[in-house]
Amino acid sequence: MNASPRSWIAPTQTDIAREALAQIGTRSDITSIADNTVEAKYVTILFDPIRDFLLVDGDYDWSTRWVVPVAYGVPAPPWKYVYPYPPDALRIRQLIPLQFEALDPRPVEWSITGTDVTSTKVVTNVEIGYIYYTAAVDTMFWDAMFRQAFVRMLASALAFALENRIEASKVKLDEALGFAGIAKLRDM
Amino acid sequence: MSIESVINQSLDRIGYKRHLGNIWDGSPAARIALNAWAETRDALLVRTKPEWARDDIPLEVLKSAPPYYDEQAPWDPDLHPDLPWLYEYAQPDQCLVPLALKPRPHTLPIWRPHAMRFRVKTDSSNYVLLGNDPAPILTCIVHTHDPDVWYEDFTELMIVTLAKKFEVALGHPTGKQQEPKDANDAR
Repeated sequence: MNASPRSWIAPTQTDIAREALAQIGTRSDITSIADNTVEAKYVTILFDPIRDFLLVDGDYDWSTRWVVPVAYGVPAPPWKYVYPYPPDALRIRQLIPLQFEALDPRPVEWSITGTDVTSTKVVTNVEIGYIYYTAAVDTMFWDAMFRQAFVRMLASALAFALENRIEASKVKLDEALGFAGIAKLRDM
Repeated sequence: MSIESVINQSLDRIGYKRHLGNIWDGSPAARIALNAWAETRDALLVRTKPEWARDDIPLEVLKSAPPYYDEQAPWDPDLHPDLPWLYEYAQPDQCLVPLALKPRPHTLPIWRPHAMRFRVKTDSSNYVLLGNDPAPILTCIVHTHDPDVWYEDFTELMIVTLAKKFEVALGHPTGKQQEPKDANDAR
């Protein structure tokens, strides 16, 4: 038995790229996103940035990860604590204080800063117990509505990149934004 | 009833389909709720002063007036309460709104109850109370954080008030706003 809870629908990057190619009506196909065809080359270029954009836009529950951060260094005023930015984070969603009253939750202020050229940091005024963030999760965890939004946005970019079809690209982009709008409201 | 279930009912009120799993989950609605929750709850407690949030708390004297004062023994604001009050008390941490002072009863029942004057004053960083009884009891609205303790009408008020804040912050129009303004819009 496969351990994956979504094994029956788990698509790969290649499956999703094929779906996008089908959406723009191209007759060419790819066997893998590394198969050295022009289509595969553009899919490789476009896949991650589009995925990251849609994930950041949507704050989907299934793309949530958390980390227990360790404070280090001294931040610039007015901040009191500095934590490393999680390396796989696309966006910080929430900091949870080390100590808080469950029935009296209070907001935590924070900011993202780069105090040197090599790293980004999270600065805040309270000690932090957890950082919740959006991560670029594998395609097997995507829900069906997000997948449809992604496919259409990828199709929009491929229509322009492969065939210079500006009108088709616009139509697919509009569809993608519509699907993404529904997907992020229907999450959970 | 949990904090999240109150918030989710507010989201339902504006037709927002994505519910919160937890107020700390970092979703757009959760961030707005986290910002608004404590302030909205306390503001409604202050405004409605519900019976179930009232409590009696004995006060602790911080300063008391001297037996007399004159030019040789002047009134010292560091040691004495504001004139003409005899005592200054710490406002208890759990007190949200002071309502009344009463003396500690020596015998019961109290046949001739009378109101005791008092005033709230902001010390350098805290609220303090001024009065004339050496050991009074303060009746006040206390911080009541647990939604399980709230009466249903207060819960409903909280839902409606949060919904108004969500409506603005999440950009979701209410059903009323979605109605056509006139016959032309209705077509």
